[in-house]
Amino acid sequence: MAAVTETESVDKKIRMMNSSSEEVAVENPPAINHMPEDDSASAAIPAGNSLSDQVMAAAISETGETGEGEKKNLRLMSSDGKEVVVEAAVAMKSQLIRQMIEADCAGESDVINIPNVTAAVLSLIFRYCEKHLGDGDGDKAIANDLKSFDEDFISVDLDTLYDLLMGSNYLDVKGLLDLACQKVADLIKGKSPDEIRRIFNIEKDFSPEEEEEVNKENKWAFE
Amino acid sequence: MGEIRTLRKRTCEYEAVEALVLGFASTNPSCDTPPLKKRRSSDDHFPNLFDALSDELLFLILDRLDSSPFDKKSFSVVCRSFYAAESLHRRLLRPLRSDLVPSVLSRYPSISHLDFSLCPRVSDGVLASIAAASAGPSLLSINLSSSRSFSHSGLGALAASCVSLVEINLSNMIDLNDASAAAIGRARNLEKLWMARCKLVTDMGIGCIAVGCRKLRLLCLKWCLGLTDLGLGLMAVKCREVRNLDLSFTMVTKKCLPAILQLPYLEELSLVGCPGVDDEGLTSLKQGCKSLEVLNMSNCQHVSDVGLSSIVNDAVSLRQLILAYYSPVTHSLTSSLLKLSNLEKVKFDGCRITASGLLALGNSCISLKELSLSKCSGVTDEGLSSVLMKHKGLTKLDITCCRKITDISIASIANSCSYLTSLKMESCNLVSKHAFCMIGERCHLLEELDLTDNDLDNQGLKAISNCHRLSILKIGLCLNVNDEGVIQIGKSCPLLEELDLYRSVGITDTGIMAIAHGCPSLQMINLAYCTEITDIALRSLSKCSKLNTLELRGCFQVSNYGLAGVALGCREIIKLDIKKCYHITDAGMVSLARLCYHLRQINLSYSSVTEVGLLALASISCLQSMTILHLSGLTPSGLAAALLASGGLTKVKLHMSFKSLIPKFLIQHLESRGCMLQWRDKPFQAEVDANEIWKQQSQDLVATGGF
Repeated sequence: MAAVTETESVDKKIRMMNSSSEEVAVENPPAINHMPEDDSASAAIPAGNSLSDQVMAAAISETGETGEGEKKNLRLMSSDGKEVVVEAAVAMKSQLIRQMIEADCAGESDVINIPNVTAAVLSLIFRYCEKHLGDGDGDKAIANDLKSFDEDFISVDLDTLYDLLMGSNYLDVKGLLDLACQKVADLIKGKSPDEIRRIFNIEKDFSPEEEEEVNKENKWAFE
Repeated sequence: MGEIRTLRKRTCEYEAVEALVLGFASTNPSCDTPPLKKRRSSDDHFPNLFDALSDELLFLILDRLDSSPFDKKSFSVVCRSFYAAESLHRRLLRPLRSDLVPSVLSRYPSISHLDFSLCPRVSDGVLASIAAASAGPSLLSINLSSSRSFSHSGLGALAASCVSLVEINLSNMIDLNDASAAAIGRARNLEKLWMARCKLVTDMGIGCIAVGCRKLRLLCLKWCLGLTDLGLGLMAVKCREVRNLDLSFTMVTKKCLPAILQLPYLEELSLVGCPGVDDEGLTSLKQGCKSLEVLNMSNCQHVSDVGLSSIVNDAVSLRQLILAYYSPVTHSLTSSLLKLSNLEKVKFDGCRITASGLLALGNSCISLKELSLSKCSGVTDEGLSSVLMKHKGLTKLDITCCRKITDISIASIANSCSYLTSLKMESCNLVSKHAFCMIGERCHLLEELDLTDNDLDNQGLKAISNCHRLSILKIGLCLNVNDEGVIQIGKSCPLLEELDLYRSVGITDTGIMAIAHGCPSLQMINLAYCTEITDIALRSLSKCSKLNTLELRGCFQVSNYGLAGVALGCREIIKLDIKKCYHITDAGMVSLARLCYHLRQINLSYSSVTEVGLLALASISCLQSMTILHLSGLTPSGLAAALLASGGLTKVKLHMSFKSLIPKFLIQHLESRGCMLQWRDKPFQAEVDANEIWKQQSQDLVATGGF
């Protein structure tokens, strides 16, 4: 059950960083479910696997769905070999997944392989997608609500920020990619190079002479 | 001389001077900032994630670092991959030293906009190096409006190699001749060209441009006194794409006006101060210009309502009409605007306006949004009220110096104009203090309010603090305002960006502390002659990290301690005036030099700064303008050294007495570098004028008409 523990640790991580209102959302991720992986589950789960059916059923019942045909779910295989079940409309906020579905690369019963993103990060990204399902409705109150959601959502530690950056880029979730890039930019603003290196744990690979040269040019040659 | 030349060439010498004087080797700002949050220790086994980001992602991050040049520079020094990404990402380059441009261009291959506005000298060699650089063919715009000392050969090289060039700004090139204009004519893709004050260019030159640059959409020929109808007519025939044309202060006459008004896409036309444009020429026009949206005919002495009505007759698209310093604004003139259903903005600044003219204005335009009657004589309560009653959608109103209006006008503003975002009413002296309460109670959308030199008191200012969106507030010379009112502004106007408290003697540190606490977006504050201000106020302003303009003239109580606070907190300071701050010394300059890299303009007159302080300032690479009159500790040799070391200076005001004490060759050298030395012979005036005396003097001036 190592994988479950790992998922929990991610959730804990978010809980640690976020406000209390966020904790509730984490504990009850609607429409998204991790498949608890046990030792017997191999990396590639065949379609129609009974276990995954169970997970899907669980996902549906948890979100309070009654009619089976109303909302379609998709099954995704994460890079760490866990299956993630998510409502199709939410997943389609990812242009990559949308294109795969539209190009019929993946049938409804197929499991879509997402080789670059872990289950934990996938579920985080889908949480963002779900909140942003109704984007562009133009309601001011909703826009304000989304803004504060975004603010809380992106207040994460650096590793998670990095994962979100890479994940949203790979899955092509534009709003989240913008949000993550803005967060990185905000961390850089007003900081000296040394401070930036410290914040992002980046090693200085310039020689002192080279650094001096760049500093000089930056200072005297242009604004 | 040889020594001087080498000094100016190399950056390392600038650095050497800096290190020598200030005794610090590193220019890194990190030393003064507290350490930021540490990463969790468990993360130590995940090193260097962010420096492996793809260029694509780094570009997205760089897109969001545009607000300050400082951030991109810091970014580029972090590590090699950041350096490489920043090099590829940068589009706009604003060089500080034109001699360093060739090497910088090799670092930045994707530059598409070059802005030389900080370089007073740009040689042909520099222009040739741009033409030869890898960025040359993709260069889209170049701004040379503040630069001199290049010629047709440099421009020719640019035009030949930089085939994508769509914008060139050559304004203020007073020695630009026809050969240079011909070189510009070879830039076939040019769409925007500014040539204001290029007085030597003749019809021959503009002809070459007209024939070569057929895609021109914007052409500014303001003050091009060498041009006649012949060249302008040819331009109008050849450049059919022109949308925006500025012929202000030229010799244009009725001969070429028909051709100009037949430009099929003409949207904006400026004919400010054209002596050759008259009623006779305008009335003979067979047709107006249907596409025209903006028309500026200010200062046209020979045009009356007769000529104007014929030019606007067919201008059904007209949105903006600017007629400042025009012949009297009469009933027939404003009536001729009747048909212009799209008109949104009208400016009659400095005109004599008749009562019937104002009445007709009320009836004519349908959807007026902006109205300026600044310095108009003849604006009465009755006239203004009638206009305001009809134009309830007005968002901007300027009634500066309308000295006849009273509380009645202000009441109609308050009652009619609830959408007002900008109100300027400097020196409306008959308006009583009670009127301002009405504005505060009714005009809640105000973002800009100029009440300079009015009878405003704390009660009025408290009412105005209801305008929570206020970003610009000018209440200089309102002598009845004190901390009580200003504190309320600090509490209620969190978006405030500009605050002018010029000679508001009642303001003390308490008021400024409230502003500093409540207005984090503050960019500009004028505290000139607020004589009660001390270091405590300055230390509190260090909270306003966006502050870029600080006026402290005559605040004689402030010292280095307060200035150091400002330097530490307000790193983006661009303009600083500390004239007559007698306690500020060289130590204050050292703190500025270490922390305020963006400083462009400083006034140090009468302070206690010496050459040591001036040499410290020399390390600020973008410092351009310095006023250094009456510095008692300044020696001629020290001044010479400081001027020599400050390589970016373009304007220095200094006392006449130094002129004979500084070596002639040095003055020549500075001038050849592009630095203008302005010698002043003002007598020494040690005391700060008492505000009451100053106010009395200025009122006497107004009374005698000398103001």
